[in-house]
Amino acid sequence: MSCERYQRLLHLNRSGEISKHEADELRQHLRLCEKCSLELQRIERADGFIDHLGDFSPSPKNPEKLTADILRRVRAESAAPKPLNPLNRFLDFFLLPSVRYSTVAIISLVILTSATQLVMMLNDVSNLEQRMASPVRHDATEATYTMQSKTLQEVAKSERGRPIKENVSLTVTNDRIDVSAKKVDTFLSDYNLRNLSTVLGASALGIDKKTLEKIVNEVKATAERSFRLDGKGA
Amino acid sequence: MREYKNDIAGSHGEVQADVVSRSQCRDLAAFEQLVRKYQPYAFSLAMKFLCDEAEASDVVQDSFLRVWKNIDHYDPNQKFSTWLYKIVTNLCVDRFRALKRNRSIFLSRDRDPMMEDLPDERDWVTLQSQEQLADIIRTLSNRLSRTQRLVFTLRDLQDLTVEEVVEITGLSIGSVKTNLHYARKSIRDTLVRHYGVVRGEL
Repeated sequence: MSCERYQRLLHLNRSGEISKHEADELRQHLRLCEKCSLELQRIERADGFIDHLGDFSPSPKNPEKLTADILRRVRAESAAPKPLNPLNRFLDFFLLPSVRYSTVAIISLVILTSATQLVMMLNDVSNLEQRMASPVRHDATEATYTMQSKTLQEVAKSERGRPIKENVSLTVTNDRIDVSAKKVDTFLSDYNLRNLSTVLGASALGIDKKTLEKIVNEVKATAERSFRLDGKGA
Repeated sequence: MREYKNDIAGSHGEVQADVVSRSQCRDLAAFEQLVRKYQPYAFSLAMKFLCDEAEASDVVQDSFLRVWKNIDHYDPNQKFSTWLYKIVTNLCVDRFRALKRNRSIFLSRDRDPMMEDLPDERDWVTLQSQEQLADIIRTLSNRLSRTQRLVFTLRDLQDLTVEEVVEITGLSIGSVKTNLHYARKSIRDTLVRHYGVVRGEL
């Protein structure tokens, strides 16, 4: 180990800042090294002065005045109104009369509007509930779609019409055709009538476009909804 | 090796916890007790660091005001004296920086403090005035960096333990020891250069 490191330990060893192991090493080194022993002498010499300074306990010329000054400033600090935090400053804004009345008016208006909307909404809900509870909804599963189409009747009566009966609940009688459809409204929509080929599997039947157009027109002209409760006649 | 007196906790003991907790409840009478007990230590540290009574008094006042304002943040698990020293030290460093900028204390005497300002060796025994002692400290610390000065003041002049110096300054233990080593070496060199190696009448 170099003398530089030992001299660092020497300077650091004023009051137990080095480990016991380091102190042992240092002691052994000092026995052999004149340079470091001289440094130790210099350190011990200087520390006589430093100890003297360490014993120095300066005090204020007038400790009572210093205490009094401190307490005066502390009292002044305690008496001073505390700076408001941002929330309190914001809330204080509403203590101004004009702001307060305007705020009350705005809040009242908002409450009134909300209440009205709520009442209207409840009314809507109630209507909806009534509608849901009505037979219409119930019938939606039981509705029968009645139409008259001579062309379709002919097709349906023939062997070609078998798939139609299988795909759609279709009852063909002499004077009318009944179709049970779960979604009556959907079935009755113009769109679905136009796509009757899909509904009836017309393409599979090989019905030509003209015949289909004829059926659609006949159906459209005669379509009539009839509702049956519990699957029986309305 | 020198026997350390240790700090406030030594012969005087720490202040009772209830005085601190009553101060936390804004009890001015309790706070006055705190001030009376710790003011000497705060002043001693500030004086040894700043070497000027008026500046030290100002720092002590500011420190206790800061204690009062922040006493809610004081953690009772920490020694009160350490917490106070931390506040005093921070304010001392701020003040020291400002004074260095203005160069009002340290260079107001027309020149830098010189070794010639040190008293004769035989006069050390009879040194009474704290102005003289403050002058000596100022002269000896003049060449130290701010951190070296801080560590030397806390450890060798105010008798705090290395652990306390670490806690007060926020430096690592390695940094405290390194700064202490350089500070002591510089001051010892100055003293030996001035007074010689051979013991006089001290």
